[in-house]
Amino acid sequence: MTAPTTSAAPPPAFRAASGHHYHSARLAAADRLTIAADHSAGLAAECAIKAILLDYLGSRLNDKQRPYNGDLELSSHPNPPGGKWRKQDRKEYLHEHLPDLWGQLTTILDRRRARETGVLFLRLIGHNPFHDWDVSGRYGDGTAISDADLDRHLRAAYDLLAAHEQARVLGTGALA
Amino acid sequence: MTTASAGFDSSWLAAQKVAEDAAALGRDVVLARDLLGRSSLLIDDMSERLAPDSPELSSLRERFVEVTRPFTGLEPVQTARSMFAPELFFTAPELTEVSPRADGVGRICTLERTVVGTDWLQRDDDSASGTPVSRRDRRVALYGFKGGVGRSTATAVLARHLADLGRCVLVVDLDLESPGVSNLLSDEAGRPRHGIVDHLVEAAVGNADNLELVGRASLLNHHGNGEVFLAPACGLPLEGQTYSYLSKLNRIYTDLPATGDGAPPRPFAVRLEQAIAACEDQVEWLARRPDHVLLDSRAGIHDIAAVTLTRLSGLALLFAVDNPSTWEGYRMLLSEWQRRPDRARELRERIRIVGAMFHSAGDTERLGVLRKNAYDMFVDTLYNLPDEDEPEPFYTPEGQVDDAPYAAIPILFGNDLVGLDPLRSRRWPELPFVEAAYSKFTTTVERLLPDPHEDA
Repeated sequence: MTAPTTSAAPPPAFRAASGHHYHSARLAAADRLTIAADHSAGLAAECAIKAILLDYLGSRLNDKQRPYNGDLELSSHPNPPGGKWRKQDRKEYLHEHLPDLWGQLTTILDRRRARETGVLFLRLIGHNPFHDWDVSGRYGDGTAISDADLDRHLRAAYDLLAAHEQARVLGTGALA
Repeated sequence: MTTASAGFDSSWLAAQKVAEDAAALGRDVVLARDLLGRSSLLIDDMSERLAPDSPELSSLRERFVEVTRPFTGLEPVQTARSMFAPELFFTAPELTEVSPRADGVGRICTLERTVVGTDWLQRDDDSASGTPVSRRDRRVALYGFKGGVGRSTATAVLARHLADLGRCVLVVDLDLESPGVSNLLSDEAGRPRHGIVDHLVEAAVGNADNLELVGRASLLNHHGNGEVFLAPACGLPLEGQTYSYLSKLNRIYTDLPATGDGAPPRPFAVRLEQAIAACEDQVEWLARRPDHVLLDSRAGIHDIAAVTLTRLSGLALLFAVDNPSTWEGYRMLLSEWQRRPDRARELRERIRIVGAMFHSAGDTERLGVLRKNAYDMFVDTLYNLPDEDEPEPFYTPEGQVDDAPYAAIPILFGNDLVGLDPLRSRRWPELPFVEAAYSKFTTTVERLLPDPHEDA
C-alpha cells in the first residue's frame, strides 16, 4: 500500500517522480525485469497524468496533499430537478491509480475546447493503453505481461511525459 | 520613473538577440514561444554536453530572463540533455529556420504554437496535405484581407462567365463563418442536403461516404454546354430534420490524430483538402470533372484563408480596395511569408491582386496608383527575400510588367451593384452594368487559368 500522505509531508513532485519512474522502467526492461518494468511504467504514467492534471487542467491538492479535481465532484453540479442526492465515492474525484485515472483525464479533457487540443495529446488519449494495467500487477509472477503490453505501457508513459514537457515550453495549447 | 518593461514584440526581439549570441558559440538553438507569447531558449548540447552550472549557461540564463521579462517562459533556458523529449523541439516539423548553420555558428530556429495562424507558415507539402498538383492547379482561391469588397459576387460572375465558355465549374463556399456565395448561386431547389461543415465533422469519424455535398447552381442563367455546381458551407436538411450549424462549426478546426497504426494524423489542412476533393468527385460523378474550382475563402487572417491560399489553390486572387488599411493588412500577411523564403518564392508565382470595387469615374490614373501601391508592397515583402542569389524574376524598377502579381485586375464599382438581390432578378449577371464592371476581371482571370483540356 502507498503510505498515507500527511499535510506535514512536502508537496508531491509528480513531474520529477514520473521521470524517475520512467527511467527505472527502461533500466528494468533492458534487464528483462518485466514485473518491475511494467509496474514502474504504470507509475510513471500515473505521475505524468497527475502532473498534467495539476499543472494544466485545474486539479488541486487537498489538505492531505492528494490531487483531486473539483469538476468531478457532484457537489459542483446542481442536482437535477427531482433528482436524488447521492453520496459520492471520493474515488470519483480523487486522482489515484490507473486504469481509472485515465477515465478522469478524458472526462476533464472532454469539457475543454477541442480547438486548442494538440495532435500529440489527442492521439495519446484516444485509447486507454493501461486498460489492462493494475497497481497490484507487482504481486504477479510476470507471465501475464507480454512484451507488447510492456512496450505499450512504456510508450504511453513516454508520450505523457513528452506532452507535459511540450505544454511547458509551448503553452497549454499543446494539451487542451 | 523607470521605463516600462519589455512588451510582446520587444521581448521577442531581445530573445532573438540572446539566441544569436548562444548560436555564435557553435550550438544549434531553438527559440520557443508559448501561447501567451512567453519565450524559452533551447540549446542543443547532444554532441557536447553543457553542464547545468557552467558559466556559459548561467550567463545566458541570467541575460535571457532579464531581457525577456515579463514574456519569459516557465523554464527560460534549457539544454537538450536536460529535456525529457528534446526531439519534439529540435526536429519538430513546424520549426522555422531564422538563420542556417554556418562555420562555427549554430542554426537558429523558432518554434511557436499559437491558436490561430500557424497555417500561414506551414510548408506546402503535397504528400502531407494530399493535394495532387493536377487538382490544385484547377482551383482558384478568391480572398480579401478585408470583407465586404464584393468577393462573393465576383466569384458568382466568374463562375457564370466560365460556364458560358462551356466549362464545368464548381464553386465552394469556404466562408464558413458568414456563408454568402451560396445565395447568389442557388435558391433552395439547388441546395444539397449537406455542406462543407458536414463533411468536416462526419469525415472525422469516418462517416462521410453518403453525403450530398453539391447541387446545380439554379440561379445562374448561363448559355451553352457549361455547368456550375455549388458546394455550400451549410446544407439544407429535409423538412423536420434537425441541423445545428453552430455545433458543427465549433468542431471543424481541430487537428485530428491518426485513426490507426501507420495512418498519418489529419491536421485541419488535410481535412479541408479531403472535403473539397469529395465535392469535386461528386461533380465528376454527376456530370464531368470540374474544369475550374472556385474557392470563395473567408476574409481576414484565418486558418481557412491560410490553408486555401498556401496549399489548396493554384491561383490566388487577392482582393484589394486601395486604402491604407488594406495595404497594411496585406503587408502584415506578406511579411509573414517573407520569413519563409522557400514558401514565398513559390507563392508569389501564384498570386494576383484584384482591384475590387474600383472607382474609375473621371480619373484614369487611379488604377496606376493602386498598382503602384501593390508594387511597393511586393517590393518590400515577397520580392525582398533573404539569401536570394538569382536576380529577382519579377523585379522591374518601375513595376511595369503587366502580368505580374501587382498588376491589379480591376472590378469597376457602380452604385447599382449595391443591394443586388439575385432572387428577385435572376438574370442579374446579364445586366449591362454588371457585365461592364466585371468584363476585365473575367477575361483576365480566364487567361490565367489552365487550359481545361490539359491532362483531361
